[in-house]
Amino acid sequence: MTNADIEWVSLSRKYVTELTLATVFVFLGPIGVSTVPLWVDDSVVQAASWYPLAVVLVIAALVFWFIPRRVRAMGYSLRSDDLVFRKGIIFQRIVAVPYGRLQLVDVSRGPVSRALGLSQLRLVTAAAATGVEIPGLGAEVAESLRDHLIAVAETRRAGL
Amino acid sequence: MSRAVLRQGSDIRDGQWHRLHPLTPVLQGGVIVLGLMTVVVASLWEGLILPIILRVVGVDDYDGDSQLWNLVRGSLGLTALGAGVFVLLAGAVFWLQWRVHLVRMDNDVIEVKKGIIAKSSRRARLDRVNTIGVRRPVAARLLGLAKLDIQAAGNDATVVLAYLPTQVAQDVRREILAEPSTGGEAHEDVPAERQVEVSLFRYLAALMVSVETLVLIGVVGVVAVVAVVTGELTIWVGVVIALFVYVVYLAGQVLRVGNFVVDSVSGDVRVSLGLLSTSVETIPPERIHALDISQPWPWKLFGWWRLDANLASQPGASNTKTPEHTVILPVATREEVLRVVALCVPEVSGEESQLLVSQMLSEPRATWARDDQVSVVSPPRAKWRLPLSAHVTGAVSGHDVVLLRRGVWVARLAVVPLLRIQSVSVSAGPWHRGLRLRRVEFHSVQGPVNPRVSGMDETEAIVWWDSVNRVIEDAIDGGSEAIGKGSP
Repeated sequence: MTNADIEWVSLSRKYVTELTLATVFVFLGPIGVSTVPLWVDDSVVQAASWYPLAVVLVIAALVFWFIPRRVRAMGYSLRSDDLVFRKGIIFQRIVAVPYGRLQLVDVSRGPVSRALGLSQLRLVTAAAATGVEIPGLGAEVAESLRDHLIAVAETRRAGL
Repeated sequence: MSRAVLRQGSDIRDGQWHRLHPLTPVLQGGVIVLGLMTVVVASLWEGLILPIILRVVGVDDYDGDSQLWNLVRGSLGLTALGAGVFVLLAGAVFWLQWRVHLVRMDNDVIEVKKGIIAKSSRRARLDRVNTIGVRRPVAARLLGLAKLDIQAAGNDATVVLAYLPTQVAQDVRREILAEPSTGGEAHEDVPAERQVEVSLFRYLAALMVSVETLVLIGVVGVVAVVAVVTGELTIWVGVVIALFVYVVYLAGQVLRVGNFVVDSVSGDVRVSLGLLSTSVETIPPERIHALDISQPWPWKLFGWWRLDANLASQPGASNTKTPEHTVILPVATREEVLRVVALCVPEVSGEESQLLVSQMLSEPRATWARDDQVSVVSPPRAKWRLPLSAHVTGAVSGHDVVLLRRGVWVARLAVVPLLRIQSVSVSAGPWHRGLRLRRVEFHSVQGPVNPRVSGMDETEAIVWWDSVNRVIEDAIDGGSEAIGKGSP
């Protein structure tokens, strides 16, 4: 992406692990379902019984192959007046949130991210469309980032 | 402790609990009662009501052998007793509801509590009150009553004050807003200045000059030809039903939105609408986060435009059929729209910006797009993504506002004051990226306006996005300084 002189901070490498684990959970169901023809004792399905599993595995392989790239595509930057967040490979998006517009900064962590020591930072403005969620931050990084953002937002608040 | 009925607006100041108008429970439970009545009438019609009517009218030879009728005739006294008890019971419930429905206002808050079994109590801080809408549903209006929709900052922070005699409601509204702690809107005594009055005829005409009408005419035409060719008469039933639905839709819209008036009251925009049920809402410009001026293509013939807005706090109490006050003008000429836009967004009231808005609305892009960083337009190759509108799409960022033009079938111009923009994004899907294009989107509070432009050149879009961000941040800093100066 051609974005002039923004110094991106990338996410923790551990986030690749988190996403991989999460994706494994997502694919458990489809893989299970797609093996059903293998158990069915029916000559009509016999010939094509491997097809569903093959399709699901190919999709899963693609998704797994994309995970490191997806993580690399995500990044944020703290500029003098705003926070910029970028994400996406196929659907790319860069958002700039002025500090004065922040209403709420939220740190959250799920069971997997907790085990890996990661947190997710959510920025809330008056507009739902802002939708900035920065995943894969080290716990201390996320906390200090939150405190910093809240402090900066206090001084710059322009109200609604 | 006396709990007097609120008879005068100024009485509410005394900090005591007051009762509302005695007919309130009837009006609020009116729908349920009406529904019950309908069910009762429908189920008793054949067996009971028809025979009674026939008897009263004098047609004595009713030969129905309804058991119910025979039963009632056999024990007339008992039936009357039953009906009497029912009426008394309903009356008692209404009376109790009225007794516990109280309102109180002191220097800081206004509070409403009600309910016998399910109690509810809502309060709003006076200094957080944004605006107060006056609503008059048909039934209440016939009785000379009105309710107040007190909207405070925050999600779902609405206190509804229903019902009061119209004059009292207006006085109470003034009392609440005159409270020194309330910001803005304090000088309510300033006379309103009529800005635009949308005549009923024009509104109806605008509704009928629409894509929906053209589709309907087309369908009816095709069906008519088919019907004539095949000689089948039953097909016409479909046409009649379609026309009936269409007329009902038109009537509903006219009743709800008809009689549309926009006034300016000491810098605020006051919107009044409704033919039978009326609703008045005063909108201070600070509450307007984005405007959308739009024109469906059939309106081009008449030069009509529509004006919608994203508002900071939505009118609450969705269960009370609050009309949508996000419509600022349902149909108006370009001059009228420009005048109201200048009211809603004072930043574009200057002569130069008025000219720019006017040019962006109805003149070719070459007249307003300049070759600098202030404006950005879609390059010729964008026609592979926006086949029809690539030659009109573009945006201009001024010192105080961003103007975004898009669309041909429905021409749209979004006007967003920089101080209200929450965040800005540049995005691209596969199609956009294949053509080296980007979409720039401005994030505003929830509402009908979606300020964005697609099909911008990749490099230009990012440069423009960056420069607009800088201007927004300057505006925020400048704005907060100005606010800091304003308050002691």
